[in-house]
Amino acid sequence: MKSLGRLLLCTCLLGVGCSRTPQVTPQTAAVSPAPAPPAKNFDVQVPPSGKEIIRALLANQDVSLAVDSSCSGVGTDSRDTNIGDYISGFLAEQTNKKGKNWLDVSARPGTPAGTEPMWQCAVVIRHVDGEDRWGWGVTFLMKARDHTVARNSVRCTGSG
Amino acid sequence: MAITAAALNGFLGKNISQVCGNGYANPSDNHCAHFVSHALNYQFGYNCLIAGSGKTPGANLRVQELFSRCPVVGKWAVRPASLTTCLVFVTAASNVHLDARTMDNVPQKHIGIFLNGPIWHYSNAQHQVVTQLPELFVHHYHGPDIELFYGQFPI
Repeated sequence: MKSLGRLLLCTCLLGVGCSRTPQVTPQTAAVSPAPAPPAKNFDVQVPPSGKEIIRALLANQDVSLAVDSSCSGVGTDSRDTNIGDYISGFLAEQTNKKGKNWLDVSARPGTPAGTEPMWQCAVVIRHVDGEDRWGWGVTFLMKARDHTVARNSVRCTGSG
Repeated sequence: MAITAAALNGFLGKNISQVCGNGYANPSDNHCAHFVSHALNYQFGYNCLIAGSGKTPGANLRVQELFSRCPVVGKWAVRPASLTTCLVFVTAASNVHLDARTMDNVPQKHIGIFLNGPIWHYSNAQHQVVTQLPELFVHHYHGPDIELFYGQFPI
């Protein structure tokens, strides 16, 4: 799981490091912009996998920490402005090999009243080393039919 | 209502599940601010009613939010002698911005309640409320930059 954490951190920092989007030169992009990937359809009864949840989180790293009061002041640095900054800060804490690091990733039915079926997804970055014990992360709603994220549903979780 | 040693002693040895009525008691989470907020009834900000599953009044969960609510904060070494009861924080000094009254949300930060000598706090390793003197509390984390800070109780 440490390797997964490091991978997540690298991807956050590099932004497009693992993207499947073809790399294009600015000249090419101006002439022929890359088409948007076709929307995928999913079985609405099957929850997203851990990989899909993390991929969705990475894709929405630019959501502002102003999205909700739960995200106010959660960055490890006062200059942090978005979810990518926040998550990167706690993943970076896991570069120390001392103690135990892991990710809690989950999905449960979470359809708000009057909306289409959605999954309530959660990603929590955890560390335990004696008294040094914490779990910080996010929750968000993901549409069951295409696994896109309701960006204004992002909340920041964690205590301590 | 002023907190008393008798009231704080009533929490000694208790697991957070015995303190929180909202079911926010995962032993992998950090409950230091959570305990302090239940003991002192701090319901503001991000609390266990929002994060948990119950319907009882929430208690704040975050050290940095408690720090910012203190009307006066400072280094423990210059704590006014008249301040015999207050919040006490332990973290690296580089995470604390006294002029702005803010604390960065770094993982290694901890909080307790100081009252006439001892500090009552939640030991996340022992999973229970304990007491400790400031001379030991400062060693909650290891590192050359680790210091104690005081904060007058939020109003």
